[in-house]
Amino acid sequence: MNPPVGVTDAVSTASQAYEYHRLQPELVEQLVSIYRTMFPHSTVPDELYEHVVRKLDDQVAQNQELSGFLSSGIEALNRQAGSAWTDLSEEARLQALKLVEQTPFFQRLRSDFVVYFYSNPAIWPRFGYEGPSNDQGGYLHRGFNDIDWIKPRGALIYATNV
Amino acid sequence: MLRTFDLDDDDLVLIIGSGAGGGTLGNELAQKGIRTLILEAGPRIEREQHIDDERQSFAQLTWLDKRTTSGSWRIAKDYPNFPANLCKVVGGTTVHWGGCSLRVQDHELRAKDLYGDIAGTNLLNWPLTLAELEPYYDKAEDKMGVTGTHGIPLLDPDNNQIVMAAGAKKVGYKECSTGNMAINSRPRDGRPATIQDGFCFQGIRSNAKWSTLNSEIPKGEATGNLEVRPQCHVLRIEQNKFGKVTGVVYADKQGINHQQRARIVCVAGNSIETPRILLNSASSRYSEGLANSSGQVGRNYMRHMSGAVWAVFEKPVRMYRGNTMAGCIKDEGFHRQDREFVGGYYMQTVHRGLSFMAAGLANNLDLPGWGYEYTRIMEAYQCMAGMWLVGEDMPQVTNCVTLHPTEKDQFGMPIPNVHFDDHENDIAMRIHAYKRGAMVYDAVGATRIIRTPPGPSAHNLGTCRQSARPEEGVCNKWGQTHDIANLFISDGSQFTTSTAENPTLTIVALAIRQADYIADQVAKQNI
Repeated sequence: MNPPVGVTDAVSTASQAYEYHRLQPELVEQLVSIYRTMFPHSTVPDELYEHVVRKLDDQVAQNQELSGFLSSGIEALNRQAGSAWTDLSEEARLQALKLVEQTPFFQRLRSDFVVYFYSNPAIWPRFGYEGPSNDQGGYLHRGFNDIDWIKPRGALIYATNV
Repeated sequence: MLRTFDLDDDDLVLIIGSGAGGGTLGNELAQKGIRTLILEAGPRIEREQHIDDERQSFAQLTWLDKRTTSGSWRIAKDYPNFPANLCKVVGGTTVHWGGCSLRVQDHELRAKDLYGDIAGTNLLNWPLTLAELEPYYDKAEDKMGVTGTHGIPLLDPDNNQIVMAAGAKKVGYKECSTGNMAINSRPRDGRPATIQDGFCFQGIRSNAKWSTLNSEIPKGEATGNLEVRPQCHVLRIEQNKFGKVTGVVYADKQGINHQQRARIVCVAGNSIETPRILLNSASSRYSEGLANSSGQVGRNYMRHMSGAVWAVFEKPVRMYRGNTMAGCIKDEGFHRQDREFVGGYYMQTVHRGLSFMAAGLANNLDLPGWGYEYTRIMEAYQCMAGMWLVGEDMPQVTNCVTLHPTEKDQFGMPIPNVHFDDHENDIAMRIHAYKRGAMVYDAVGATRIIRTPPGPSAHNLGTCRQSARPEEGVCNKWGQTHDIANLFISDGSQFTTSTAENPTLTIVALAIRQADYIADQVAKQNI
């Protein structure tokens, strides 16, 4: 099986007041906006996207090179876009991102999002994932076989146990 | 009172690794009264500490020491420093396995005879027959509590399996069930029945799944004949002037080297670490590495044909509820003359939590790994079902584990490089398997099929293979190396061919058999 793209520390479950170590507010705002275009989940609030940006900030605080990598990546993206990110239409943002899709900058943003966004337990209920189960007795009495649209159900369950 | 042995005790069987091979062998020898020491590179993490969270569990259990890759396989691009997904803990990768326990098929042990000369392969018949293995399969299945054997009922199908089985039936497959699983369907051997917890790949928190951590090791320790010493990273195997092995040098968790003596050394570090240790033990007598007069140590690395098929439906499936891999279609598992490849493969249910599903989908064959299409699929997570494809792959002499010429690990030992090129037979089988997997889900109304490519392998095989003739392989049918009578290979490295089946059951059967042989040879004072 594929393992994760990277290894994370424990993920935070609650949003709390957060002070950025390095990233400036404008950059935070643009990164959230970039992520909303890269991974559009229309009903998910900004703060859950910002969770990923905070992880980036943590990494920047640990790694000075990453800071330069991010800012030059953003500059290149903005040059590509031709005008201020906030002024761009959604379509124009998408086009700008597609033009940098193969760059290490884009790939870094993408893989960090995949790692940190979807492993945050705070978003799991929105996707219908129930998370840890052992301390609740597993799914034995909580719907492990509750699928109701496979018919005829009884015969098939029997057939699976040949 | 747990047993401990002195460093200069030279009457021990020393086993490197505590997984399916090493952990089982250690218990079997201890039960026979043979004093046995297992050195395990990883820490001992008891099941109460295992975590129901994919990423945290991954960080807790996985062998993360750097490896490098080369060759044309996709892994070299997607995961250049992570070719294999294995554990570095007491219990080895039996702490992180699905539980599928299938016997190999007789014809697979005669692969060269049956498949013929296939260009680019280094096919060889196993030096043993299924009849020789069967009594040991019986013991292994009993030990592991494999469902569908020894009167043990099958597991109840979960949502993911109900979907796959319905599709299988519609396309005309005859053999689909929850399969032969080393997960208790009812309480057995002091362990409870499954609670369908959904975290089979994240340890053994519920204790329903067999692992050497919860079975073999504590049983062996209870005899007073077994010591399991964690966080001992073996660097090399020592030899004397007569060409016998005399013990090992290992680094402890502080990085301090120790010399441990032994009468017999059994290597069970998995198919990457086992050849790595042998190659790193080169000496003036054995300049190409220990037990390597054939030149086959590290070669014929196999990882199984694999891949996964995911399906999106209109209505919820909730695949994550239930055992991770309890579903198996066996109809494609046989060798047939009328397909464009030799050997067979299985389709086995698999699920992922949201986190690993996202990671898998970010690297799929059918849609971009970001953007609107990606997020639409992720939002349909509840409505997804999944299957893993696993089949025989071809041994190739050029697919190999070697020592990196310059890079060293934290203990100064050269890191391993894993070189792999897909054989055209593997590619043809994968194409076939993807199509059949998609058909199964199409038959029950899938609205979208997404294929994901092979990931870092948990099935690593063949790098110290068994052979009848010493010039064609590394060890004989007992796992005893051709070159050195008191040096054994005790893990999946000894597989002559990969066979289509998930390897753990066979590794366990071979370990039980090897323990009988070692006890016999010790009694006769042959080693």
